[in-house]
Amino acid sequence: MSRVSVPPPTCLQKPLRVPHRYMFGPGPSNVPPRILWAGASPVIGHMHPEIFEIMSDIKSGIQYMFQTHNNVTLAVSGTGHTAMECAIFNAVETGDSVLTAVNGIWGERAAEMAERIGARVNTIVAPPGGYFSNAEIEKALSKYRPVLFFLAHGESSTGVLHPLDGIGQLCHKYNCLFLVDSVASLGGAPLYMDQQGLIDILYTGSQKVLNAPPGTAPISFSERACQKIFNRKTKPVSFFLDLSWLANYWGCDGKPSRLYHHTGPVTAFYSLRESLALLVEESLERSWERHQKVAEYFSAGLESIGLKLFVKEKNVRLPTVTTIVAPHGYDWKEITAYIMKTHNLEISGGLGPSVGLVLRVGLMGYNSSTANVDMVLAAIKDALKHCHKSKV
Amino acid sequence: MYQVQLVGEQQESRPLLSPSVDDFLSESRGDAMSARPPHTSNTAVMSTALDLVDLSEPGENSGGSIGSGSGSGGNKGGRRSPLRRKGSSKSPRRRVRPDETELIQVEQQPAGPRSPDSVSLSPLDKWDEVTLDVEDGGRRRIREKRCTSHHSSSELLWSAEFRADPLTKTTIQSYEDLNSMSTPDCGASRQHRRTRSLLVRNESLEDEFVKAKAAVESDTEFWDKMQAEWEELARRNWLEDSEGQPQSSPSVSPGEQVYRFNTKNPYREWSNAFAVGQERARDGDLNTAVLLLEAAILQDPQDAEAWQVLGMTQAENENEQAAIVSLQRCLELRPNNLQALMALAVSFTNNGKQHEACDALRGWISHNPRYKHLVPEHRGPPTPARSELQDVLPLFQDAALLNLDCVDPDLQTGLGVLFNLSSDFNKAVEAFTAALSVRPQDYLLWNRLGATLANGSRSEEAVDAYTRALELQPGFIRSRYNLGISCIHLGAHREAVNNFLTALNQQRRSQRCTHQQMSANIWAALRVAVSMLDRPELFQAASVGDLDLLIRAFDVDA
Repeated sequence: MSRVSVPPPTCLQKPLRVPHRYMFGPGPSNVPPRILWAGASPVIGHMHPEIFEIMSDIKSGIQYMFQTHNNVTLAVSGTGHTAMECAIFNAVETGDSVLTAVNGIWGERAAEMAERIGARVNTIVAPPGGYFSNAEIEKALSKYRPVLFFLAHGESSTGVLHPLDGIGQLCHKYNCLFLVDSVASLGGAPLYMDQQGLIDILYTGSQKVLNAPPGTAPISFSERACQKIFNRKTKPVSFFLDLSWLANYWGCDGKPSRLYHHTGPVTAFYSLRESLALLVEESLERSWERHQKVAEYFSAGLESIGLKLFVKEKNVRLPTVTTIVAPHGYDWKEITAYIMKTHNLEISGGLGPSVGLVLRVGLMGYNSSTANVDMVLAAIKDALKHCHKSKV
Repeated sequence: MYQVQLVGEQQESRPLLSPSVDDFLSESRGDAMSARPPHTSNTAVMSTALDLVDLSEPGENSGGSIGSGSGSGGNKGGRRSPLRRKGSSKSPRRRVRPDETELIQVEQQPAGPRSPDSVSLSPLDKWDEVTLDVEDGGRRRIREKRCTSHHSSSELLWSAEFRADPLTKTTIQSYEDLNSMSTPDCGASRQHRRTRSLLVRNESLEDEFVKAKAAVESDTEFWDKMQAEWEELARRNWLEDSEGQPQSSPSVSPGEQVYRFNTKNPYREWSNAFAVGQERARDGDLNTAVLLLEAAILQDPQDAEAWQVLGMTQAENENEQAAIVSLQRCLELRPNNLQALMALAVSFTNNGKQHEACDALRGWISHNPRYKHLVPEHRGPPTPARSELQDVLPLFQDAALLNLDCVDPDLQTGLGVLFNLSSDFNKAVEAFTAALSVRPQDYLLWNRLGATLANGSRSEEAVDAYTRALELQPGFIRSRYNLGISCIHLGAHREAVNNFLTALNQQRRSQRCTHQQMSANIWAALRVAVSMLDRPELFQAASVGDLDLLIRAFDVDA
C-alpha cells in the first residue's frame, strides 16, 4: 500500500494572484481583454473539425500578416525559439553549411542551434546597434556557400530593424535559403515575405505585436524551402518539430486525412486567431504607421529629457523596441527596479551583447500608443530624479 | 599589450584605450583644433605604427593593410595619418641628413632625453612632415620639423615623447616590480638607468606601438572623436565574453589604459611642478593642480607619488576614469601605495565594479603593516573568488577589532566602502562617522559620508555633510556635484542646476582652457536637472554646452 509521502503544497491552497502591470518591456506585451476572453473559450479536441477550422483561419491570418501565398504556413506550438528550432532543424542536415548574421542575441542563438545539430556554422558579426550591408552579406555568402542564411529582422536586443532589400535576391543567387526572424518586428514594421523579401522561411511570435499570450509561433515556408526540406536524406532530429508532420496537422500537405502528431495548444489557438482578427481589422498598413508614429514620438520625448538613443541611424530603428543609452551616473538596474516598484511598469535593461549598455522599452501592438509613451516618459523622468548615484 | 593583427573582419580585437572625457564635450568643442574629419577610427593607433613600417612605399599608407573593419572605411580619404600629409611625399631618405641637427636638438631639450632613433608620432595635421626611414635594418629615425607657428603641435610632440619612453619603461619595469617583491623605492637609480638606456634603441615592434600609442594618447581631440567608435570596440568583444556578463563600461584591463594628458599645458617645463601642484590641490584649485601634476609626470613618468596625487585630485575633480588610470599607473610603479589602493577602491565602487574594488581593498589591507598579518597566505594558484566581498569584509572587520581603543580612520574608510558595495548604507554611515571623529577636518571623509547617505536615500542629511565638506574645501568639485545630485533627489532643481554650474564654472575659470577641463558627469547631470525645469531654451543650451548662457540665466557668480 503506497502512502502519499509528499504533502500537498500549501502554496497551491492559496488563490492565484497576478498583478496588473504595464508590460512595456521587449515582450511579452499586455493582452487586450478581447483576446484574453477568447482564450477563455471552452477547450475542445485538438483534432476536432472546429479546431481545424480555427487553424485554417489562423493560417489565412498568417498569410495576410506575412504577405505570402505560401501553402506551408502554420503556427508552431511554442514560442519564438520553437519556431527558430523548427526552421533550423528542418532546413539543415548534419554537415550543411549555415551562415548566421550576428548583430545581437538572436543570431547568436541561431548559430548555437545550428551547431547543435551538426551544421558547419559561420557567422558575420556586427557590433550592437549595427547592421550588415548587402556587400558584406554577399561576401560571406560567396565565401561560405551556406545552405541557410539567418538574419534577425527585428533585433530586439539592440533595437535595430535590419534593412531587407536585395538580400533575398542574393540568397537566391548563391542557392541558399533565406531565414528571417521577425518576432519583434512583424506587424510593427513593413515586411513582405514573397515580394520584397524573397524570404524562404519566416517566423514570428504571438506575444509581441500580436498581443496574444506566448504559446504559438506563426511560421511559413516557401516552395524553395519545402523542396529542400521534403527531400532530406535524413529525418529531422526533432519529431515534435518535423515539418512533414506539422504540415499534415495543419492541412498544408493536401492529404485528405490528418494524422495525430501532437496535442495542439487549443487555448493558444483561440487567442492567436483572435489576435490575427484584430490585426485584420486594423490592417497592416495602419498598424505599421501607428508603430512608426509612436516610436518617433517616443524618441523625441526621450531626447527632450536628455537621453540618447542607442541606434544612431533613424531608419534602422526598430519601432517596436526602443533602445536607450544607459545614462551616465546611474545604475540601470536601479532605474528598472524603481520604475517597476513605483510605477508598476516594466521596462528592461540590455540583453546579450547589450547588457549594461541600454535600457529597452517595448511598445507593441495594443501597447503602442502616445498615451503610453507619456506614461513611460514620466516614469523614466521620475527615475532619473531619484536614482542618480552619488560619488563616494 | 597591443596585438599586431592585420585582420580583415570585424572580429579583430583592438587595443583598448581609455574613453574620452565625453563625447558630448567633443561635439561642443569649438576651439582651434577643430579642423578634423568627423570620422576617425581606432585604426589610427594601429596604423600609426604600421604606417611606420610601410612608409617606404609612397601612397601605400591606405591603412587597408590593417583591414579596418570598423564602420566606414579605414584610413581612406580624410583620415588623419601622421605620415600622409600635404607635402610629405618626399622620400624618407632624403630627409635624413638635414635632420641630424634637429635630432640633436631633440636630445638636448630639458628633461626630455630620448633616443634619436625612437619614434614618436602625433597624428595631428599641424605636423608638417614626419617621415621615416624604414630601411637600415629596422632602425627608425624620426624627423620632426618644428613649426613654431604651431605651438600646440610641438607641445604635443614633447608630451608624446615623454609619454612613449616611460610607457616602454613602465611596462617593462612594472612586471619586474610586481614579480620581484622588492618594493623599496630606488627612483634615483632608476632615473639614471633610464637616462643611459635612452640612448639605446628599442627596436621591437611592440615599442613602436607603445610610442605611437603615447603620441596618440596626447591628442585629446582625436580621443574625443573616437568615443563612439571606442564603445563599439568594447561591444565587439561581447562574442568572446560569456553571455550575460554585466558591463557597465567598456572593460579594460589595468595596465592597458591610456592616460590622456592635456594638450596645452603651460606648466610643462616647470621644475617644481609637483610641489606647486600639491599646493594648488590643497588650495582647491583642482584644474590647475591637475595640469601641474601632469607636468611633473611628463618630466618624470616614474614618479609614483605624482601619479597618486594626480589620481586623487582627478577624483576630487569628478573625473573618475582619469583617476582610475592614474592610480593604476601609480600602483604599477609602487604596488603597496596604500592611499592609491584606497582611492582606487573608491573609484571602482563608484563605477559599480565590485570585484575590482574588493581587489584593491584586499591589496590595501595586505600591504598595511598594521593588518597584513590578518590576511591568510595563499598557497597554490590564486582563485578568482579571492576578492569577493564576503572574503574581504571579514578581514576589515577583524582589523577593526584590533583597534578597540582608537579608531583607524583609513580602516574605517575601507569598511565604509565595503558597506557601500553591499548596500549596507547605514553601516557605511557608521564607519565614516567613526572616521570623522578622528579627522573632523577631512573633507574627503565628509563627502564620502554624504554620498553614502545619499545613496541610502537620506538626502537631507547628505546635504549637510556636503555642506561641511565644501566649507572645508570650496573647490571640491566632486562634493558640489554630489550636492547637486541630492538637490535633484529632493526636488530642488534650480539649486541643483546652480550647483552644477558653479562647479563647471570653477573648473573652467581655473584654466581658461577648453571644455576638456570640465567634467562630463557634471554636464550630464546638469542636462538632467535642466530638463526638469521645463525651459526648452535652457535645455538647448545645456545640450550644446553653452555654459555662459546658463550662468547668466541662473545668476551664478562668475
